[in-house]
Amino acid sequence: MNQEEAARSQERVRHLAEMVSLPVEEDRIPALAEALDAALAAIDTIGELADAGGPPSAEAYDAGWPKGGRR
Amino acid sequence: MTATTRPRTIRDTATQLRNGDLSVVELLNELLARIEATDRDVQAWLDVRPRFLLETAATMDRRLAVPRTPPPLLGIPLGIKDIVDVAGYQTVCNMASRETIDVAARDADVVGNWRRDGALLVGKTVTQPAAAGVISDPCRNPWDTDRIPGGSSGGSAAAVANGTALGGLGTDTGGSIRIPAALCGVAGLKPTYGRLSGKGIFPLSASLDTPGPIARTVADCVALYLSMAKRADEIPAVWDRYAEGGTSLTGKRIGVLRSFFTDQVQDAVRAAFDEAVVALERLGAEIVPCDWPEAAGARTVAMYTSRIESAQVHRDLIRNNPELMNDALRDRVEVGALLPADAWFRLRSARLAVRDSIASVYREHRLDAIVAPTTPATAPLASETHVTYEDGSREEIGAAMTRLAGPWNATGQPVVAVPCGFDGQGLPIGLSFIGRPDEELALADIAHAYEQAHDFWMRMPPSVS
Repeated sequence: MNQEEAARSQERVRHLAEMVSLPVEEDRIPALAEALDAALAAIDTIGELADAGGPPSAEAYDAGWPKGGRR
Repeated sequence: MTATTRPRTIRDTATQLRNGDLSVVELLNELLARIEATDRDVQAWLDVRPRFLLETAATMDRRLAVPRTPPPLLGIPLGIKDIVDVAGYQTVCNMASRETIDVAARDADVVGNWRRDGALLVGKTVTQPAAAGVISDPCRNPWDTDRIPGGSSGGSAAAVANGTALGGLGTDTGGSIRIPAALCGVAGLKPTYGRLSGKGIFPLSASLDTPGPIARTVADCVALYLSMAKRADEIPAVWDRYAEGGTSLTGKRIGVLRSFFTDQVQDAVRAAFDEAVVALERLGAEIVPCDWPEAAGARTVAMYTSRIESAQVHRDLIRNNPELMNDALRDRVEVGALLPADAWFRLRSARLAVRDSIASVYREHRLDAIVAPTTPATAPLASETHVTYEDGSREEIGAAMTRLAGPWNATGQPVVAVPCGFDGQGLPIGLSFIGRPDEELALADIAHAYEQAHDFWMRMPPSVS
């Protein structure tokens, strides 16, 4: 991860922490940003399973339900 | 080096007590002496009250003297993981924030069931802070006290391995019964999720938390499980059935999972697993190689579901007194608190899919059980942060120890863990039998047959000799 991406991840942590009123000391943010990135990346890998288990996204619904052609 | 004396089991001890060959006071004195001799090093126990226990034991002996069938667990000494309420004891959960907490007014449901069935509750056993991890500090592994016992039910497993309790209560959210059972060389049973009451148990992740027993043998685990489930009247029949042998697995179809479950494991673990599969075939089982491509996804589901739910458990503490949390718990809770709702819904949806996928594996192959290694490595040194594999790769201890266990929390299936060998350093290796939901007893029959065909369960750690 380059410096710009790391800064973006850390900014995301600050933003999310503020949203959920979670006090996070500045020196903990780099490690927390890395852990959150890893968590989101891991959860990304189960996208197909999540679609299979439903409720589906609009795209998965449209892709998976038979259509009768354009009116 | 291991001790050669046959270890006490609950079944044999219950018979001795009923026949008058042993008194509860004698048994308790034996255990208290062992605690005195070994627990300075092993540190499995937190709160043991000898005078009170001896009074209770004497009362139990008087009950045994009455010519009436005693409850099946009368006088059986058990340990309780310290996230589970026992009336009159604090439930500290190894957390600084709970050191001054009031004592519990009543037993957790499963503890109350043990007490009603006659168990002698010896005391509380050490756990990982908030049950969130596998180290269980300061408890150490009786097989080598420089090593961790696993967790988070590390104290209960170490106490059983060490012969200072005949059984222990554990809870399992990502492997916390099975991992310490494997690392300490004893048996553990994780029942189907939702099968036993969680009332009176401090939560880690409500949709995954599962209480269950740890004991020397599968038969002992079954007895403790039946008591926890308010089915103690079935214990004598189970013990009789197991006493008759039942070592043939003819007609049983056992699935063998590899790839995700064997690709990254220590060589000794792989070798012991391969030998176990051969042994099962020798016992008459039909071995069915099968694949479960969703295993890694199931592990992800369990891991991050647990993080999000534990953030809810500790939402006030993390905001008001985070300095009272240890680093591992704080890291976990912070990540869980920051994961967005989208992640939560994806985990929930994926969980339904992994349950369907494993159900279709059982259906397609007509399986009675699946076997897989319990952990990819034997007990790490307490001074280490990572497990090292023979190919030079390294893995953080918590991630390594939960990797093969977590998928079965996502699916909610029952699992029986038993020892299946020892590595070159004399450390125990664990094998998991994974069953169909709500079929704990059928699964236990298979695990029992494997266990009784070997002597792994009889070996005792050097601290006992």
